[in-house]
Amino acid sequence: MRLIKMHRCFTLILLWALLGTGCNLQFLAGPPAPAAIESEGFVMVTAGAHDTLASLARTYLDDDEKAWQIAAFNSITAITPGQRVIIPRTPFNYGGIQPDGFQTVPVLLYPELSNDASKSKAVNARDFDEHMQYLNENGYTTVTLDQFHAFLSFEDQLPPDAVLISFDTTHRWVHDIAFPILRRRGMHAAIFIRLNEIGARDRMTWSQLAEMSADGMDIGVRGPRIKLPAKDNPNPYSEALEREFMAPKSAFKVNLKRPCRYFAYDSGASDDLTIGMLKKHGYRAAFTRKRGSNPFFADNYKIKRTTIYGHIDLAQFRRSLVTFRAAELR
Amino acid sequence: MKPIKVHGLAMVLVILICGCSASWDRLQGKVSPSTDVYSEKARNHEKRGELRQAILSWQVAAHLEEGNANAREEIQRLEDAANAAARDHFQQGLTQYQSGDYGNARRQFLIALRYKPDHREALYYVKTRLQNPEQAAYRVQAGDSFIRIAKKFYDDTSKAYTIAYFNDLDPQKPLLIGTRLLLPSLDTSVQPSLVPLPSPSKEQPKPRSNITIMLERAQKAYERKQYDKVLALTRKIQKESPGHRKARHLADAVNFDQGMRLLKRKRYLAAVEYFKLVSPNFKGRKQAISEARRHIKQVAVDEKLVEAQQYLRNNDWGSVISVTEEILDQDPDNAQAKMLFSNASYNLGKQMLDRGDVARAAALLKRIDPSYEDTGQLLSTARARMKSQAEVRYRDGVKHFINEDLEMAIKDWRRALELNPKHPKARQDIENAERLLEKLQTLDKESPDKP
Repeated sequence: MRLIKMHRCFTLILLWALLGTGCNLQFLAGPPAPAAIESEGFVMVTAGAHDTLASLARTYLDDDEKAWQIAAFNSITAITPGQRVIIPRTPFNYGGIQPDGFQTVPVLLYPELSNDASKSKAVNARDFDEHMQYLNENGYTTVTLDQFHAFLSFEDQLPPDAVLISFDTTHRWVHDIAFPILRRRGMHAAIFIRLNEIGARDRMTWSQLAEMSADGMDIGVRGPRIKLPAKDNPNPYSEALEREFMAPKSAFKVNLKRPCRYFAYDSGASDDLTIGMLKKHGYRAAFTRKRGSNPFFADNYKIKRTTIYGHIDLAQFRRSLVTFRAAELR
Repeated sequence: MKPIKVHGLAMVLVILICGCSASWDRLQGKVSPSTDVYSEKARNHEKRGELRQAILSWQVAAHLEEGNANAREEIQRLEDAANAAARDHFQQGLTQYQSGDYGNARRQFLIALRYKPDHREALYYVKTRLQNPEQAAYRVQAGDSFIRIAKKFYDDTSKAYTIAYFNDLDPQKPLLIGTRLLLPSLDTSVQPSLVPLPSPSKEQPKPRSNITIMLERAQKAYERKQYDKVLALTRKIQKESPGHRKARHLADAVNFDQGMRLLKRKRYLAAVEYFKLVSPNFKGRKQAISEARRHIKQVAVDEKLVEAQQYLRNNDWGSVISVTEEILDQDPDNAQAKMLFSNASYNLGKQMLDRGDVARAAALLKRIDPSYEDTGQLLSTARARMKSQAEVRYRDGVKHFINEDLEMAIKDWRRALELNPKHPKARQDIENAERLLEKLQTLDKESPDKP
C-alpha cells in the first residue's frame, strides 16, 4: 500500500511538473526563432544561432551596413547565440558629437592611379591597394555620398571612422585599376566625371560607368566642362552655369538610371552664385580641393578634400585620416 | 524496489526538464530580462555624459517592467536636464555669436545639440550662420517678396531666384514673415548691405528742406570721419527719398574709406566686405577689391609657406611636398615654394633610395632639377637599381615558369615591367603566359576527369 501511495504521489508530482513547464517541452522539437521585444524607439532581440550583427541590422534596420550601430550602442564587436542586444531604431549620436569632441569625415582625392611606378604624381596601384587594405584592417568604413550627405544634414550618423574616397576624372584607370581593388575589398568610392569626355580615347564609357554604379560606386559630375564667360558679364555667365548644371541631370537619368546630385568644382573654387545654381538644380553637395576633414557642420557646398599624391607614404596617409577633432563639449 | 527506481528516474527527468527548460528560457529571452542591467547601463551612459543613450537605456528598462516608476522618473529627469542644458548653452552661444566670438559660440551650439539634437535654432546657427558670419542676413518683413528683396538689396530683380535657391527656398512659394535669409555675395551686381536697407516708404516725401539739412549734416559728419553718423543719416535720407544719389554717394564714400582703412591694417577679408557695399561704379572700388584679393591670396600662400617650412624643420618631407604642390598649382612661379619642393623631394627621394624603394625614389627625383645637389647622380643610381631589380624579378618569373607556376611568373614579370617599362622580354612573356594559362584553364574545364 505504501508503495502504491508513493507511486501516486510521484505521478502527481510528475504531472504537476509537466503541466507547469509544458510549453518548454517544445524545445525537444528544436529551438524556436529568437524572441524580440519591440517598441517605438528600439528592438530588444536575443540572437539566434545564425544571427550576426549584419543580419540583425538587415532585419530590423533594413540595412546591413548599419551593423556598427548595434555594435556601438551595445559596446560589442560581435554577437554570440543567446546574447541579448538592443537595436536603436533611430540614430543616437547625430553628427558624432561627444563630450570630448566631434566626428570629422576625411574625403580623400586620388588625382591619378597608375601601374607604371615611374609616373611622378600618380599613386601606384599597389600603393592604392595598400591604402585600402590599411583602411579595411584598421576599422575604417568607406561611405557613400548619400550616407555622407545624411551626416552633413544631421539626419543620420556615420560609423566613427568613416572615410570617403573620391576620384575627379573620367580616365579609364578608374575602371581598370581602382574599381577592381575597391570591389574586391567591398569598398565604396565616388567618381566625379566630365560629361563631354565620356567615350573619348582613354576615357570611360557610359556602360563602364553604369557597371560601377550598379556595384556601389557613386557617380557625380565635375565641372565646369566648358570655358565660362567672364563674371563681369553677368547674364551669359549665369546662363552658362545654368546649362552646365542642367546637362548632367538628363544624361545621368538616361545612362545610369540615377539622379545626379553631387558636384566637384574643377579648380576647387566656389562662389555664392554657383552655389545658388547648384541648389536650384538639386545638387546636394559640392566638393572643393581645400585640404581638411569635414565635421557635420561643414558647408555642404564647400566640402574639403585631401589629395593623395604618389609620393605619400603609409605614415603620411595615416595622418590624413582625421576622423575626430577634440573639443571640450561638456 | 522497482517502482521506487522508476519514480526516481522520473523525478530526475522532471528536474532535468525543469532545469534545462529554465536555462533555455533564459537563452531565449522569454523570461523578463532584468531591468537592473539597463538601469546600470543608463547610469554609466549618464556618467560619461551620453544623455541620449542614457535615456534610451532607461526606456528599455521602463519597457521591460511596465510598473517601473523609477525608470520613468529617471527618463523625465534626464529629459528635463537635457532640455535645460541645451537652452542654457544655446543662450550662451547666441551671446558669444553676437559679440563676434564665433569659436566659442560654435562650441556652445554644439553642446546644445549634444543635449538636444532636435534643437533647430542651434543647428541653424552652427550649420548656416557660422559658415560665414559676415554674410549679410535679412529677416523677411510684411509685404516682402523675393523680387522686392532682390530690388532692394541688389537693384536687380533677376537675382530673386538666386536668393531663393541660395536659401533652399522655392521661389514660387510665398515668403513667410520672419524667415531669415542669407543674401548671397554676387560679384555681378550691387552687393547687399550688411545692415538691411529699410523698405521704401509709401508715405509722401517730406519737405525737401529736411533732406537738404540731413545731407549737410551727413557731409559735415563725413569730414569729421564720424562714419556711423553719416550712415545713419544717409539711411534716413534713403528712406525718405529712395535712390537719393548724393546720399548713396556719401554712404559709398564711408564704406570705401572703411575698406581702405582695413586694407592698410592688413585686414583684407573685412576690407573686401566693406568694398562690396560700395556701388559698382564708385571710383577705385574695382582696383581696391583686386588689391585686397591679391593680398588675401598672398596671405594664403605665405601661410602655406610657413606651414611647409615647419614641416621641413621636422623633416616631414612628404607634407612639405603636398603643401608646396598646392602652392605651385595656384602660382607655378613661386620661387620659395619651388625651392622647398626641391629640398623635400631631394631628401625624401634619397631616403627612399636608401631603403630600397627605388621606383618611388626615381619618380620623385625626376620632378626636380637634376642640378639640385647631386640629384642627377641619385637619379642615375635609382634608374640603374630599377633595371637590376627588374632583371631579378624577371629571372624569378622565369623560375616560376619553369616550375609551371604561371600565375606567379606573370606576377613577377609584371613587377619587372613596372620597374623597367622597356624590359626587352617581360611584356612578350606575360602575353605568352597569359595565353597558356587561359588554354590550361579551358582544358581543365573541359576535362571529363574533373570532379
